[in-house]
Parts: sequence; structure tokens; C-alpha cells
Amino acid sequence: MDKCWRSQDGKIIANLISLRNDHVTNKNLVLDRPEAMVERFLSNPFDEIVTCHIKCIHALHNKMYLEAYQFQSTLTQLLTKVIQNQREENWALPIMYTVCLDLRLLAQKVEKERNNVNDKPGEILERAAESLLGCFRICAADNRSSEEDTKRIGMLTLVNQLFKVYFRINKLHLCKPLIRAIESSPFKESFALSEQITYRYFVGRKAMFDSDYKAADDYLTYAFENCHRSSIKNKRLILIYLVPVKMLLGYIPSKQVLEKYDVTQFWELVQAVCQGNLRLFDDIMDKHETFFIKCGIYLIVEKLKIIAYRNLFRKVYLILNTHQIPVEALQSALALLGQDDVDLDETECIVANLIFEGKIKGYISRQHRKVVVSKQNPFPSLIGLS
Amino acid sequence: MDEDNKSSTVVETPIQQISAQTESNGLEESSAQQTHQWMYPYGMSVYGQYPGYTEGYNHPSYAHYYQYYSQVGYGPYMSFNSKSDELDGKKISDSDDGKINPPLPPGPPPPTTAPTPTPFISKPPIYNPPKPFGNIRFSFNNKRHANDNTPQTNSLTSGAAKKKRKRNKINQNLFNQQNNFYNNYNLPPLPPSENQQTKPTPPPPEIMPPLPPVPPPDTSVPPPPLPSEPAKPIIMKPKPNAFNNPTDDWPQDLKDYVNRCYAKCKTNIDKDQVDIVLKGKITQAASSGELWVKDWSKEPLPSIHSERMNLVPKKLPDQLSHYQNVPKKGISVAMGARLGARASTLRGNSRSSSSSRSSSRSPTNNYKKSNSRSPHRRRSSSSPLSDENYRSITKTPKNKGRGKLIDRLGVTKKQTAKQLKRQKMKEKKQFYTEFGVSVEENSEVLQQRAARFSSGPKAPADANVTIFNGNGKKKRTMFADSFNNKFIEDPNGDFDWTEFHIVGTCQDVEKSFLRLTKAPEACEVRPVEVLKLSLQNVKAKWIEKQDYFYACDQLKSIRQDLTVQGIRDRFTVEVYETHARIALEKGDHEEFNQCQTQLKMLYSEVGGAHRNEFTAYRLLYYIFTKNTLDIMTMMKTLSPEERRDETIAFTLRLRSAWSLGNFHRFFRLYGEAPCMTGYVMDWFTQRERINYFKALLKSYRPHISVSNVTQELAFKTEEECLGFLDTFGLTFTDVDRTLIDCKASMAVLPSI
Repeated sequence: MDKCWRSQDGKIIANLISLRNDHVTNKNLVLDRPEAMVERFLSNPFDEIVTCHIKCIHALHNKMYLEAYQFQSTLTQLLTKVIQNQREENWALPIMYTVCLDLRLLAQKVEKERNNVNDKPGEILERAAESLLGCFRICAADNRSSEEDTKRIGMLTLVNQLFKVYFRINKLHLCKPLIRAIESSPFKESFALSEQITYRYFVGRKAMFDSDYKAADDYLTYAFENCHRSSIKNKRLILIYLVPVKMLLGYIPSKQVLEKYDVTQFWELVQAVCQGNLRLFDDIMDKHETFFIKCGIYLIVEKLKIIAYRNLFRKVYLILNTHQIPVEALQSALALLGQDDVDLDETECIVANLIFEGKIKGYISRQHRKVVVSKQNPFPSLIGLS
Repeated sequence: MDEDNKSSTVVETPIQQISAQTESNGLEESSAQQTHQWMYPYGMSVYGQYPGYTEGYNHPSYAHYYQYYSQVGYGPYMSFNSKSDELDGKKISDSDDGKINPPLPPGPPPPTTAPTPTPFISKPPIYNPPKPFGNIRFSFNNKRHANDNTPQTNSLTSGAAKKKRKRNKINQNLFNQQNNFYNNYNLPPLPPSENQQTKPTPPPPEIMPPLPPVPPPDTSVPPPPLPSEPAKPIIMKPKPNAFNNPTDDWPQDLKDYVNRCYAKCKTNIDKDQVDIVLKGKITQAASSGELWVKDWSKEPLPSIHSERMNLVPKKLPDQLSHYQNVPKKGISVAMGARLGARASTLRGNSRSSSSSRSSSRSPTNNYKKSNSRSPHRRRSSSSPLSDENYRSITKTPKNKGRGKLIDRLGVTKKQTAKQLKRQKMKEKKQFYTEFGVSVEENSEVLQQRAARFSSGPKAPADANVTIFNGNGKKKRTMFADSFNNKFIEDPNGDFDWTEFHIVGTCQDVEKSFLRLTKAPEACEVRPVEVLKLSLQNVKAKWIEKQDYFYACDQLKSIRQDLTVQGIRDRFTVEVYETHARIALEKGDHEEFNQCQTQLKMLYSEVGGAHRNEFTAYRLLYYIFTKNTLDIMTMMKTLSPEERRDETIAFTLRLRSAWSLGNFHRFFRLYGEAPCMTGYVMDWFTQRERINYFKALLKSYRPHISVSNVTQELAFKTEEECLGFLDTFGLTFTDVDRTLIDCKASMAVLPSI
């Protein structure tokens, strides 16, 4: 390690300091008081870091995750100081990545282990986020180094770590300044592709939560298309958000894609929406409610019901083959599909909304209780509407 | 004792002290919002629906509250003091001041560097003759004087004292060395404190530091630093002959004295007691270098248990009346309360809760008790002079040099270890009540002794205390607990003062809200019992007058007092529920949000009968703020049982209608809103009405009748609806304005 430190080989040190490396399971490293031993081999300030690391391993070995977290946290702070003092060099960035990742994973672990009622959920993760933010600031502030050596190149990795924490603790508003920092960064395009994909995945999700479906579509599509084909798991994660967004915008995913990535929950949904089968739609919402809620897409999926209304009414229009559709006909269609508590006024309201959103071209005549649809393209394609 | 069990729920979780400070924004906002007259008529009937409004909080036992403590906690103590009052002031060194929990510094104490139980903080003991008692600024010190009647004890541990120290540069320089000595002296006790937790058998008395004879401390020449480890020998052998075999290091008269003391003992209890007292004295003498100088033959024998039993009743009335004279909002009370919380923490295991309660009445003594090793408190507090002084000081209106308490108010997170400790505490309490105040040595010893006496008889007083103590005691116990923890785990001085709360003494039922800009004064904070009256008062006034400004102001100040004192129980829930309801009625969503945020935390801590109702309000509030993320989170956490709850089910239906833009259903549900959900909905009905009307305007041709719109937008009358529509500048097809010309009105659509 000493050699690596002197030769400034960040990657090897990163491996050696990682909690996910094989050496963690090495029993010889489970030491309670490693200070003396470490001091013999290493010089300041690296010895402190290694000491923390070994203590952390020791704590992990004894399943004391909180202690382990605290050591890792100290380690992060020490490393932050070291890196801050390194001018014009960024070889230590891989170490920082590893340490930060470990810190976050440990924090997650601690959160999972804590089930005391009095513990605030997310508290440890928040503290971890603070440490990460400390690293981020150092990287972001390093604007005097030359382009090859700047630590700003490490920003995105940290931002992604922070995203992961913030999404976990539901503090999406904290992402905003980070997004701004990345978007205004001159290295926007030179970040590693994998990091860019992760970044866009999170930004896309955020846009989705903010009901900015167009932007969400852009980000998530980029992420999905650029994500390496072997990382099925990641592609599936992206797809979970991309599918509802796309559907809301009028794009229907193919069955093969959904099957390939094991998100068949969406296939039934696709069918229900396309057919305007509200009964099926409601059933699916019940059946997969936990899945949708867990992924945080319940509210978006729910909005697909509006599209299902549109498709149903279109069917009624095609069957009746008239431009003047009685509201009663629409209502009975709704009632047939399990929406039996909908009265005429509510049906009118649904239609009114569709007209308002441009999904139906036409108007309602209150006196005649009829929906008069346009003679040309009364149900315009959803694509390009919004 | 089940009080203690319950106590775990009282102040366990962190509170956000900030909330108390940030809740003034909505004060002026009592905007007359549309209300559901048909559902929630103002006045009594509203409150009939909500039992929270009418529940009474009468505590009949409250009347005995203070009086009781004066008797139980303080009485015996004083009587003991009076016995041993002449027990030399001189040999008692101020060095122990480091151990004393110093009064709060004037600034906010940073948790890490704040005064800690560890004696690392340098406190130059000042050996000049006592200041005249009229020194108002340092009333705290003065009080000590008053009670001590000892010139040497010009304790400069308080923040005020620190200031003083700065001014007294000369003094400081003069006593710098002295100071160093004391620091040195103070260092040793800590490691033992840790060890003794684990080791039941501490060093025998033989290792008492063989101190060279040193001049009495009132010379400015500092004695040489003491050997560190045995500075506080703790004798755990219950047998008196542990002391009867002193080493040659002890002067003969001391040996004699010890023998005399033990000769006096009648029971085992007496022996143990004497054991403790003697050791305290000897340690003290040794540390102050008087071991050899002192004339032990003149030393009064310590009071023993059997004797004292007879003494207590005699002394009691005096003390009682004395303390009843203390003005209600007087400083001593205030200080006492503030110190009480802390002193009791320091004392931790030294005394039963009765003593901790007495703390609120007798700050000075308490203060010293916290330094349990020091025999300060044995000095004549019963002399008439000191009583005079004490009384005069308690009337002093100024009290400078208080620290920022707010810094300590924040997080009170109890660690699990504490729970384990609670059991210990109970045991200790039994013992210490038994022995009352005469037990005098450091807390570690007490703790160890507690182990021995854990099965000892329980004094009747203790039982009474349990009955009368209520919250105060629970909290103190917890303080003590947490202190113990800290004290043991944290010998380096990282003592987190934020764990402690003050206990208020203000008796005003009504109090206006004032944003705290500094640490709260105990005399300005009302204890729970008063707050309960306050809440009733506010409710009554609200029902009577519907004065939102007044109610909000009062409730905010109640909330603030609760926050400041770290009280989080059912009563706190009730206060927040009441405020939330009143804010709902008056459409003050900022106050409501504050309340519901607190309620969310409170429900998870202490629960509450109206939990589901307020969960529903919260969901509606999220709809109001269009916070889809929080809605999502909330739906994640709702259990099936909660979903079945009438109010929550209603809000979930409403949410679905809102989310799908099904305005018709939305407004239909609006008409049947249960509980107070209608009030929350009022906050966003206007917004949704506009949305719906825009849709109507765009989709209906050629016109739409006002009556239809009235119905769809859930207006009660067409006039009301027209009032709503008038703002848009619509075109009507007829002069009577019954039909809206939708096409012609489309022009105004973008501006709606």
C-alpha cells in the first residue's frame, strides 16, 4: 500500500481500501487495535485512513454496523482532507469513489438494521449525504487545476451517489443544485458514460415526479439506449420508469421488450389501456399496486386511466359511427366495464377533461346531452399532443 | 415505580427546537376562509365532535407539588447540614468545583466544549474573602455564599464567573498556579469512574494518597500535584474496620476520630453511612492537604441514620416556611429549576428523586450536591445569617450570566444502554431515599453502594415521591440516566448539553408568544400543569369569542413552552391537535402545517386517538401543496387498517378523483367531507374550481347554464357562483346572466 501511495496509484489503493474487496474476509485483518501495526508500515496521513479501514472491518466482522459506519465516516473525512490538500493532481479520485460508495452502502445497511421506533428514518443516510457533499464541494471547487488533473471530473460520480441517497430518503428537492452544477459543468460530456447514464436515470426520474414527462422521456430514453446491453438489471430499472412515461405520451412498448426485461406487469397494463378496458385496468391497479407504489410510479400509472377513457370513447364512437354521441352511450360503456358509480354528469366531466386536454376534438351540448365530435380526426393521435 | 416505566415515553425522542422559533409566520394570517357552515358551525357544537377540545386536565395532586418536595427532599438534608454545619469550611477546597456542573455560560454552550462533568475546565478558585452578598450580578455565586456561609467558596464556575475572572486578571494570575493544581487534582477521579462501573471492588483505603502535609489552601502557594490515581479512593468494604486499619499515613487523631465515628454506629446502615461520610471527609482532607493539619479531635461526628431519624421532623417546618417565602417568580426558583435539571443529572445516582425535586427549590445545595465528593453542603446552611442572605438574594430581580439553554434543548436521544440503567436507578433510589442526604461521596461510590443495597428497605417517602412527582420526576430520572451514560462513556469531556431541558416555573395561565431570541428563562416558562390550565383557558376563550389571533398566540406560546421543556406526551399531542383544528377552521395553513408535522412525529412517538383523522388531513394537505412525492410516500406507508379508516378512505378516494381530474367526483366528495376535511379542502377548492371551469368552458357548446356550473363546482347558491365567475369577465348570452356563452368567453380562457 505504501508503495501504491507513493506511486500515486489510485486504483490499486481504492481496491485495497474497499470494503467489498476480498481482503475484508481475511481473518488476519480483524483487529481491534490496529494503530501500532499500521504505524509501522505507513506514514501519515495514510496510516490514519488505513487504521480507520481496519477498524471498520473489525466492526463489520462483529456486525456492529453503526460503529462500522462511524469509522467509515471518519475515513471519508480524513480522505477528504487529504484530497483537498492535493493540488494539481486527481489520482486519488478512485479512492474517493470507493470510499464514498462504501460509506453509502454502509449507511444503507445501518438504516436497514435500525428498527428502533425512536430512530428517525433516514438519519444516517442524511449524515452520509453530508459527508458525500463535503467531497463534492472539494471536487467542484477545484477549478484552478489543469483539465487533465482537475478533480471536477469526479463530480458526477459523487452526484450520483448523492442522488441515490436523496431518492432513498425522499429529499428530491436537494437534487436541484446538483443538477445545476452538472449541467453547467464544462466537462458535461467528458464524464464517464456509465456515470452519465446513472445521472440521466435519476434526473429523468426526478422529471417524472415533477410531471415533466417530456424531459423525463428524453433523459430516460438516453439512459436506456446507452446502458450497456449486459446490464439487464439496470435496463430494467430504467424501463420501469420509461414505460409509463412513454405510454402517457402515447407510445406503446412492445411485448418482447417487456418480457426481455421482466416487467410483464406492464404488458397487461398496455392491453388494458389500448383496449380501453377499464375493468382490467382497475384489476391491474389492484393487483400490482404494491409494485407500482414501491417503484413510486403509482400516480403516473394511474394517469394512464385517462388514456384508457379516451380509447374506450373512441371505440364507442367507431361503433355508433356518428358524430353526435349520446352521453348515455358513453355512460353505459363505462358502466359495462365496472364503472357503475359514474352518472351522466360525471361522464360529461370525463369527456370535458379529454376535450380540454385535446384528446378529443369536439364539444358537449348540455341541452341535448350529446358529445359532438369533430368530423376530421376526432380522436387525434396522442403522439405529439403534449 | 411504574412511573419510571412510563417515563421512557416522555422525552425520548428528538424534538425540533427550531420549530418553536420558526412558528411565528402565520400569526397574522387569520384570513377569513370559506367555511362549511353546514358542517362545522362555530361554537360549542364543533367541539362536541372533538373530545380533544373538552378534555380536562386537572391534576388534583398538583397542589401538593412543591410543598411536598420541600419536605421530603430538602428537609432532611437541611437538618443534616445543620448538624455538621461547623464542619470546617477551610478544609473544603474549591477544587471540586471542576466537578460541579458549572452554571450555564452566557453564550450558547457548544456541545463539545461546553462545561462538562469532567474537571478539565480551569476554574481558578478565588481565595479572597467573600464578596458582599449584595452582588447582584452574580447572584448565583452569592446564593452559594448565602447557603455556605463559607468565605472560600467563591465558586467561579458559572459563566458569569468566567466573565468576572476576566476582569479579575490579577486574581487570575495570582491563582494561576493554584488553578493548575486543581486541574491536576481534578483529573484523577475520572478513570476510576469508568473502572468502578465495572469493578465492584475498588482500591482499598490503604492506597489513600500519602500526602505530604501541605499548608491550607488559603495561602496562594499551590500544593504539589497529587499522585493521580488514588486521589479518590473508594472504599467499598462495608466493614468499619476498613477504616480502623489506617496506614501509618494517617495522623493519630484522625484514627481516633474514625474510631469514634464507628463507635457511634448502632446499625449496619449507620456503619455504611459513616463509612461514606468519613471517606468523603478524609478524601477531602487529603486532597486539600489538610489531612495532617486538621484537628480531627474537634471534628464533629457525622450524623448517623438512627439519630437523624429523630431530627428530621424538627427541622422541617423551618425549612418549609423558608422556602415558601420565596417569591413565585423569584430567581431562586428559576435558577433552581434550571439547575435542577442539570444538577440532578450530575448527581445522577446520588440521591433519590426527592432530592432532585428539591433541587428546584434549593439550587445552591443542589449545586453542591452535584459535586458529591465535596462536603460543601455540610456547611451551615441553617445559620440565621445564611438564611437571611439567601432570602434577600432570592428576591434579586436580575440574574445575569445565564447560559443559553436552547442549545441544550434539541435532541434528546436516549441510547439503549439507558434503558438498562433505569433498572439500576430504581434500586439506587430505594437506597438513597433510605439514607437521605447524609450520604456524601462521589457518585461512583453511590452507584456501587447501590448495588449492595438494591434489596434494601424502601423508605415511605420514596413511595410518596413517586406519587407526587409526575412528569418532573420522570424527566429527571431520565436526565440522570443519560448523564450516567455520558459520564461513563464520555470521560473526555464531550458532554452533550443538548440532552437537557429546563423545567419552567412560570405560573401564568396566559402568556403571549414571543419568538425566542435567546435561551429561555425558567421563570418565563410554564410547567406542564400550568400549561394544561392554559390550554383549557384557550379552548374556553376560543369557543366563547372565536378570536383566532388570541388563540393562535396563546397556543404558540404553549407549544413553545412544551418544546423548551422537551415535553412530548399525550398532552403535547392534544395541544398540537387543538391548534391544528383551530388553524384549520381559520384556514391558517402555515400554522396547520407546523402542527401536523409535529403531530406526525408525536403520533409515532406517543400515539394518539386522532391519529387517523390527522393522517387524512395530512394527505389532504399534500394535495393542497401538490406534493406528489409525499403523497406517494404516504401511500406507501398506509397500512390496510388505516386505509379502511373512514376519513382516510375518503381522502384516498378524493385523491384519486383529484389525480384523474375527475372534478365532478371531486366536488361530489367535497359535499360529503367527514370530520374537518372540508376545511382542508377549502384551501384548494378554489384552485380546482378554476381548473374545472376552464375545462367546462372549453368543452361545452354553445353555452352552459350558470345553474349547471353552480352544481358542478359545488357552490351553494347561483349568486355565489356568479360572484366566482364575475372575476373572469365572461360573456353571457342573456341579460339575466343565466347562460354563459362559451365560445365568446373563450377569449378570456388564457387569463383565467
